[in-house]
Amino acid sequence: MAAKKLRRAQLSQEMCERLSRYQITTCQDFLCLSFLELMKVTGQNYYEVQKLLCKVSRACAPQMQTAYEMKLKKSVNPSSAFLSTTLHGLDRVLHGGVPCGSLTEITGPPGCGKTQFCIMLSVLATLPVSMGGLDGAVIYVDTESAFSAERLIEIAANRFPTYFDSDEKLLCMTRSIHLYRELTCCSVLKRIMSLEEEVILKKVKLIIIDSVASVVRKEFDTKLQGNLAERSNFLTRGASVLKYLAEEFSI
Amino acid sequence: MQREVGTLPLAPALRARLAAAGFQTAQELLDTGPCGLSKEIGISREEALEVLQVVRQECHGHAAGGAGSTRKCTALELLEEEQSQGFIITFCSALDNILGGGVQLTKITEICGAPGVGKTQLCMQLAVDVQIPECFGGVAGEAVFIDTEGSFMVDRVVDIAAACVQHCHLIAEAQQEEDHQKALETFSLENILSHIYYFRCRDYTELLAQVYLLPEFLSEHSKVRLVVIDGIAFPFRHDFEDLSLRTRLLNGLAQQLIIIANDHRSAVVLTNQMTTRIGQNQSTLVPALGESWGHAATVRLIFHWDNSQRLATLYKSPSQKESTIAYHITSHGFRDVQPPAVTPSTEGTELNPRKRPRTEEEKQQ
Repeated sequence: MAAKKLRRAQLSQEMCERLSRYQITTCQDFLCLSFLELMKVTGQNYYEVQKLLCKVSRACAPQMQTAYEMKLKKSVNPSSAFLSTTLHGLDRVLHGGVPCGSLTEITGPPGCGKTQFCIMLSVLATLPVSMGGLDGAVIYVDTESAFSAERLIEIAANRFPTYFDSDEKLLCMTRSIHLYRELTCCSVLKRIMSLEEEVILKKVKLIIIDSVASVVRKEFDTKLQGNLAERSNFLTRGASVLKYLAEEFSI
Repeated sequence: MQREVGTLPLAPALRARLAAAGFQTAQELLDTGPCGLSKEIGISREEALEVLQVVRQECHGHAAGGAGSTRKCTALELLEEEQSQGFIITFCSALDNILGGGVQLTKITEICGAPGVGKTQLCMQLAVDVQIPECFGGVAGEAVFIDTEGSFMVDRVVDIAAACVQHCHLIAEAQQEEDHQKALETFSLENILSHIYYFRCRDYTELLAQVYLLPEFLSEHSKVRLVVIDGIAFPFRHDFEDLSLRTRLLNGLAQQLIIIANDHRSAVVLTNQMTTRIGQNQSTLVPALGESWGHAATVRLIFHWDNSQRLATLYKSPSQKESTIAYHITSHGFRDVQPPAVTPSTEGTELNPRKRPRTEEEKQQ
């Protein structure tokens, strides 16, 4: 939205050409300037600049919804709002399970079962909706190489013996879990950026990143000057893309 | 009429030409007339007419006392205005007390805190509380919620709103006045939810654009009394190499919000994140966005933890003194910490917020 070209914001052609001479081509550049600078750059008077500002703002501003509309939208499909973890205590505390449409973070000391939990969630997500799953694919970004396919099949076969009664079904399930091994921060970030297309292509309903801390700690030593800022930069950028994906696709 | 040509809001190229032609005051421009002006400077007659119209608008605007541009009033008028102004209550009476009655209209209040301490909860509570009808002590306004972090949960707002409606029903039953009953008819869950206007801004450009468009939105929806921006730090903290640009944008935002708060008599509430300042050998948590941002807000609240108790500190306020209180977040929303001696009959540790207002009512009667 920020990178929207001014041409598409319905500004006149000559205005766009004039602005591009000052290297102002996107809405972001336009809105970052102060009033006086805008007057100088566009050569218009105060009231005209105000009108231009409103036009450009309207091109980038988000749509309004009332809270009531949001509630109605949610109540239209109640079943797809949560992924139940099949642990009743946890589901009760989470009010239904892992919520779709927002980020959930699982933390804990090593060995307490985070990766096992993630593997189980991947199995659950591939189940059909009638059994409490999301009937979709899973993207698993693994940074510690801790994902074991054998364990996956073991969990599936033992947990849902009636559903996974044939090898056919097991293979089908494993085919819908896409594993990506990324070992550096840059590649993790690149992978997150490229996820949008994959989500649409493969009908993904669950994205797991295991784990964010390990790859960040390996690369950024907090004692070095300046690394702290870079690290938080990387983390917030990744987080905002993931949030956008979660909300946009409701996964 | 003696206004200098250089101060008029004209295009810079025109101003340069007028200065080069020797015009100094606005009166001279008006005396010349459009045809004379166009011949002297070499612009078309229509442009000259436009210039004169701008000049007249500016000068007349000033003569009429400048509604909106400069406002003069005595301190007495301000005092009367402030006393008749309502506050937006937070349902936590300790917090209302240290704020001097609640969140004030026409002022910017900033809430800082670590993640998970309750900032968004308070914002959602305020968005519901601003709609309380006047006979119950509220402001009867609508709310604009600008979300940058995506932490607005509709289901939670439904819970908070339901508890608020319940509370008002209890008061109405206890006091049995007619206008209470009438007000309750319009104060329903659907009405509350449909008067919260929600905007989701994904990055700082959308936030800037939205704030530019806010005055227009507010003049269309004149009943709005609360603007909440949840997470003003989030879009400015990543992806910004140029810190001076960030400071400039933030200051511009702050100025616009002050104008909005004053012109439309609404409260502006912002939430900020905390960042660690690394000192000589220890690190402290301070509000994010830097020192210069600290001047933007009039009232500053800092939320923090103390073992497992949530505390709120009034850090900066022009009229109240600095103090700290404890608060709780129950399933009904933002509430006081119940002191154990007041209601000995509560079972276990489950707080029953509905009991508190009833005892208050009894005390009043």
